[in-house]
Amino acid sequence: MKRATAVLLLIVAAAMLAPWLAPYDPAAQLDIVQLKNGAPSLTHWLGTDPYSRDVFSRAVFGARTSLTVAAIATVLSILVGCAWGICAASVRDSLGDALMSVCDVFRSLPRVLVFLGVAVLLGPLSAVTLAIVLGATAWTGISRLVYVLVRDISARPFVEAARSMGATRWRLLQRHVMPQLLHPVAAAAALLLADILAVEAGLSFIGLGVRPPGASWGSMLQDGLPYLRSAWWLTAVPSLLLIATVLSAAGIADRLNGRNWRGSLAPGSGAP
Amino acid sequence: MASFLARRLLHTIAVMVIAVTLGFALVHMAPGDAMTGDVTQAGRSSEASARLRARAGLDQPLSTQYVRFVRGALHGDLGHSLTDDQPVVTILGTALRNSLALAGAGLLAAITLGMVIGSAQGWYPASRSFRLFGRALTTLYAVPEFVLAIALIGVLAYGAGWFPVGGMNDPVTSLLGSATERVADVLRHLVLPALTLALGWGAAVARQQRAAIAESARIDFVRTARAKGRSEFAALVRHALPTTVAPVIAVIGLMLPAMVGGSVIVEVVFAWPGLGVQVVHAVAQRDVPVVSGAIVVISLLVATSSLLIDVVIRAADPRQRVARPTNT
Repeated sequence: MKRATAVLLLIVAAAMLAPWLAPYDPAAQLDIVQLKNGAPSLTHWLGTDPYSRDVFSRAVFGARTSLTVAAIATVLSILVGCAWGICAASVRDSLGDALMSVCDVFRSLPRVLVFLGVAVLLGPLSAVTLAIVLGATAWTGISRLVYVLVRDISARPFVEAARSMGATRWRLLQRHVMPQLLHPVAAAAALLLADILAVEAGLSFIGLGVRPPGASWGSMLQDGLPYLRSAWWLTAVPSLLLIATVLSAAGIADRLNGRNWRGSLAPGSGAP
Repeated sequence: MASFLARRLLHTIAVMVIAVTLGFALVHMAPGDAMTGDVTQAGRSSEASARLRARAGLDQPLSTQYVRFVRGALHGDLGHSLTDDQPVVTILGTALRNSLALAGAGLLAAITLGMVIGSAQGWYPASRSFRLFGRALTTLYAVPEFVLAIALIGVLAYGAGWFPVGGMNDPVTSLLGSATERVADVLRHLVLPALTLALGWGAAVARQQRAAIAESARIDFVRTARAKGRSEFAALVRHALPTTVAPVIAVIGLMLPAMVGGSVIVEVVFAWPGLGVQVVHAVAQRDVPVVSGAIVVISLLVATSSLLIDVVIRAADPRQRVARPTNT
């Protein structure tokens, strides 16, 4: 947990401080002849890419893009997912069932198809559009979780006690149910962040993500793949960053799950 | 069972309707139509254009066109490619075959890998090496497929030189080789992409399998089997393992939609000529009919297979016949 948090914080800090940390402009083609696929050196710590751009600067700015997109998308899907789940759990059963069926239908549609559709309509996306599309396809899992949790919590004795004392539905929700959601939703959010980071990188990698020359880890991998043998640093750097970020986010999620919520609702949670 | 079937069927139909509508909407929301992009239009009178549009049915109200699109889809007619003078179905057919071969191989390997490792972990919870193995697999699960793919290419294809870097066959062998040589060649090309998929999916299966086996070790009849002196192996394989088959199939059913995304990306990395490569290429070319056709085909496949999986599980496992809330 501590290590994972430290790694994630370090990467977030690097992303926030990108303009000060990066020695070069991430999109600047410094010297297309001399510096094409330059190996790591003192002037270019992590080498240069096929367009003679500085890999370290691109990695730092890429962190900015990848993390911002993933963060916006995560927040968006948490908001939508929680709202949908709470609504479905609070209205009468038949309506709630219908709402959750809609959610399930969306869940069983492969989301990569939605990305393909959006990509063919709009072409390369801006970071914000990408984040919205990612968020719009990721909320269903959260809403399922929240729905089940709210139903479960509402049936517990302390909520019943409050209800018997005449608490209104809104007060029940706000004072008794919602606080219980905090930890599980936080854990789910961390996991979702990891997932969305990976999906975003994948999309940028196959050319459906952030519009060039904007750097993202996925597009850096795309640029570097043809030179896998001759210039390993082009793929190694974004790969390692991506793995470190995803793993630490997933690790935090695991720990949040295990420590605060060894509930009956999470099969296999808290296991080593 | 009947009400479950009805519910499940309704769900499947809803998914299909959304997919087909999405496919239709794409064709019509994309700027211009098939006639505006036609290179032969230069110098054509507006009257001729109108007649061509009428012949293609583009002057009909949208609802009529929608009905026609659905009817066409049901009859296996998904329109014509804009960049390649072929019906979309022809283009997607070959690609689909290749995709299914890859996904099938990956899934088979994933199930084997996941069942073996998961069972070992669940049966011997105290074993250190199994736990380490499990942790390694969980770590792999968190690594995005294409990063794993790149690592495998770097190590096993470039580094060790055991496998080809990508593609589906060697041009020389596919032209001159005998039938067995050609099959062996395709299999050699299949190993790395299938392995990439298998590692990711296998981790999910193993996770489920570990929990299921650990639970089944406590079931009475498994304990009885051990008590009456059956070997550990027999108790595991003959008594505990069968109870875990249905849950594993269920996990695969839940994973199906996500598996599509994984295989698209893995296909692109390995230049495996499947649906993924085809559709990404079509997106780059703005070949809307091909993209919309692929969306329809893929979602129909996913929807029907997950329906099939659910029904099979229900039919096979008597415990499932009791009404219970849907899985989360």
